[in-house]
Amino acid sequence: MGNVSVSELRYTVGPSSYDSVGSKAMQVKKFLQDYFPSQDYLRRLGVCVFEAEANLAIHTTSGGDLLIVIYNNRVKVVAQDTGPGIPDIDKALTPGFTTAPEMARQLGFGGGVGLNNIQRFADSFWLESLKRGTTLVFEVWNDDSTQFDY
Amino acid sequence: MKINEICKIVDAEILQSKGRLNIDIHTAFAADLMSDTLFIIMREEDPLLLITGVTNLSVVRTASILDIPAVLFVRGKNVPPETIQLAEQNEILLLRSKHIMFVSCGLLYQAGIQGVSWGM
Repeated sequence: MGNVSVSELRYTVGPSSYDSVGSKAMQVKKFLQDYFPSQDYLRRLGVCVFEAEANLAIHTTSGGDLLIVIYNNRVKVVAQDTGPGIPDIDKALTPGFTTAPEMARQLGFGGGVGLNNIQRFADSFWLESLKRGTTLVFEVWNDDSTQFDY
Repeated sequence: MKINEICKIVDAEILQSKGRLNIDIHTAFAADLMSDTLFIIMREEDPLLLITGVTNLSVVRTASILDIPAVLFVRGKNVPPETIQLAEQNEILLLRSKHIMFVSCGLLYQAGIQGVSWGM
């Protein structure tokens, strides 16, 4: 095994910050262009980060944090908030089910497919939710390219 | 189909021209929900036209994440300057037609533009 290099990005997403949804995902995608040449990979990863960011902006009481960890050919994303939690995870993972407020829907969000979209593209997916907060962790792997030096 | 041809078919004006003006577009997706737009299946070799009545920044961000080269706004919507500016920075073409979405889609479909695959 060679040396493992790690790089990370951190963002704070404010509650009800509908106007800025997607801005962090754009920054992440642009930053990662130097690491991963595959547009297909960047698109899959970008969609997942966009959805995680939108969830923090739309569904949290106090916003949350996005952590992006880049190591070798994988990117791990951790989205963490302090509540109110997902009452029924099975329902939240049902396509089309949404609890998004009207304001979010008017701006084009809250279609009820966000978590499904992450599951569709992520190579690993872990979700835990309590009233005091939700943690979503997923990884997207860049399988078909070579290792990079950071 | 070239951007100029698309403009002729739906009687659209170009609001933002910095980007891939010579691109050949064969597929399109129409929605006002960006959540649904993020669910389409993009293929690199198949550049897409996004047709929408939403004109806020999230449309440009969605297009940028999905590598969508051109957005057609329908219903003659007023497009905020910050949306045009962000599109310019990210080289996403912006078009605007006075037609409603149904008519815009119908005209483009009739002219040979196909619908893109959707994720579900």
